[in-house]
Amino acid sequence: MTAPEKSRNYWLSAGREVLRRPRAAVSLAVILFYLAVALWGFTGWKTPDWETENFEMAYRPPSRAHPFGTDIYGRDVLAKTVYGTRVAVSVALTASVLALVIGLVLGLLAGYFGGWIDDLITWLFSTLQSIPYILLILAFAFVLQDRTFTLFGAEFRIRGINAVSLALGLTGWVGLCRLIRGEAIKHREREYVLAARALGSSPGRLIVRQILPNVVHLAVITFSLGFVSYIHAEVILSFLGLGVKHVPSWGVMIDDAKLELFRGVWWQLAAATAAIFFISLTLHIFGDAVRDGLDPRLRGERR
Amino acid sequence: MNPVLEVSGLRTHFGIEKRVLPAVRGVDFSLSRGRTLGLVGESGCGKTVTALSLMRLVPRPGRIVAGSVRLDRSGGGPLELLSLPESRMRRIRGRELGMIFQEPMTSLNPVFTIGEQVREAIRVHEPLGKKAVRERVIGLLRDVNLPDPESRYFDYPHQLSGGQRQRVMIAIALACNPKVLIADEPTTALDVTVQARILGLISRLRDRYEMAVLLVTHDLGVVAQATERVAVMYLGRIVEAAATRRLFKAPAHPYTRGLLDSVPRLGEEKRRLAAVRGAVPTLSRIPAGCSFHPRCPRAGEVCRRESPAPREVGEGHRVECHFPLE
Repeated sequence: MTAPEKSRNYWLSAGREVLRRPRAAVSLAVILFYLAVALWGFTGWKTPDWETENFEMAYRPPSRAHPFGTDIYGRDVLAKTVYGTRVAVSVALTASVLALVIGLVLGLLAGYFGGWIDDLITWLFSTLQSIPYILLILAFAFVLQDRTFTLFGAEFRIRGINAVSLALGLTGWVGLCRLIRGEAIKHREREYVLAARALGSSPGRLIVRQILPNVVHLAVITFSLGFVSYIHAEVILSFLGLGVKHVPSWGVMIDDAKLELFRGVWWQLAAATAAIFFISLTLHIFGDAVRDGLDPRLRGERR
Repeated sequence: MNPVLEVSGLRTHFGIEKRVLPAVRGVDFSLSRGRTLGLVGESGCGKTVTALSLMRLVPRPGRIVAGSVRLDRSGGGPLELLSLPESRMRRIRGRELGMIFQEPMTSLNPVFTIGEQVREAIRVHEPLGKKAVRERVIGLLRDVNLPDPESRYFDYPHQLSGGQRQRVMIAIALACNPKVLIADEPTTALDVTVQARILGLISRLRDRYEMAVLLVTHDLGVVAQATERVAVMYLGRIVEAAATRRLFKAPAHPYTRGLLDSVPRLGEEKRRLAAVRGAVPTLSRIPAGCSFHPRCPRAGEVCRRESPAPREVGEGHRVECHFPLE
């Protein structure tokens, strides 16, 4: 008896399935490019200089020296876009990971156990949801601003951009939680969950090994859509002057463009918009492909 | 022979908004090694709830309110399952009591390959190495006569036929070598030829693994084919129990008689098929006295007042009726 050695793991085969789709593979490449640009600043390598001001060079259109042109202070718009990527990705990543973990855990607990656990969690997210979104984020951001806390013995201070990402994450889990709760209730009553209980599986094992794999595609698609919406939220908050300060971000760039457009200076707006456009588009396509890949019933189908 | 599982006085009630619906009202039976007991009855008579009660998996708002389920242990005295803490009961499920469900379409998790699902059944109870588990899984799939188990291992449930899925469910139930196999309508969702093969498979595996089998079904053909003893349930009670041959030849309870008469036979000249008169009453309005009396052709005055005590009408033939048939 020779069992094939190649392990056909659920996640591995899902990944292979995703990458078989050309659009998804291209999207992944673009996403990785953004991530690389965002991580650039942390590697210690020289990054494009966005700080040097040169008033003689103000509002120069795109040229060889400045491919995206310059702004009112004569700073390089490409460099600002690169730095903005870092801000956008770190805000969105922190916020969506936070929202994903909270939403998934609370949704599964509420859906599987029901009873007072469900009541409590439902009450929590209904309350959060009843407060207008922007107001809620601002409230969180203000409360979290300039707090210090200790984690594993190290002291952290929450400042500007971190407050924004925490606020987004702590408020953004509601949608996913509702979704997962509903699905968990549905799957809890399925016969294969009963069958797994008849095998002697514990509640924890049932949730992780039977229900979670059936709802994880929702978490993935919510993650990728959420990522986009957190980038947008950062842009909106910064545009309103409530988010990132003193450093470039896409939102700040668009805010600057308010005063530039009537002079015919379009390149700063164009750069920020293009940066947002491509990451949004690719995340949507990739999220969709991953969702399809995780569902074995849809594998091998091409649309 | 010592029974492996002994059930007595089992009562399971469903409490819905202060109303109590008694789904199982005092059931006694025992299962012996290498034997199959058939549990038959119409829809809603409490067969499935009885089966789930043995596993202590009655869905809410159901609750086992009385009775005892004793599991024989090789060393030491019998183990009372109904008073075990949930964490210990979990170790009994799958290892001592295995269960097969009615719907092979929905009893398998759609996102895992069947190999992974059989493997999970083993790993819940036994921490084995990867290779050892895989060999055991393929062995089990071979035991249930799944064709080409090495490559089927990697198939998803939706790629299998109904019969193949039920074979996988049986493999999962047998994964930890249980002493008792509870099969809840294992062949109802399958077509007749597949049904016969699955029943044959269950009987063969029962002999090989020396298991006791409880076969829950509404199909008298299945009972005739696959069991040694039968218990007939009506409204949450076992109204008649006997050896299968005897029950088919000489039923003592008018309800059993009615069930047997309602099976069509080829070549018999009859204008209408006999059916049991009336419909099963709801659990909230169980008739006083003998619960079968409103539908019974033999009912007399006493049937309306008193519920019949169980009586022996032959060797191993027990019936609850004031006026049993000869």
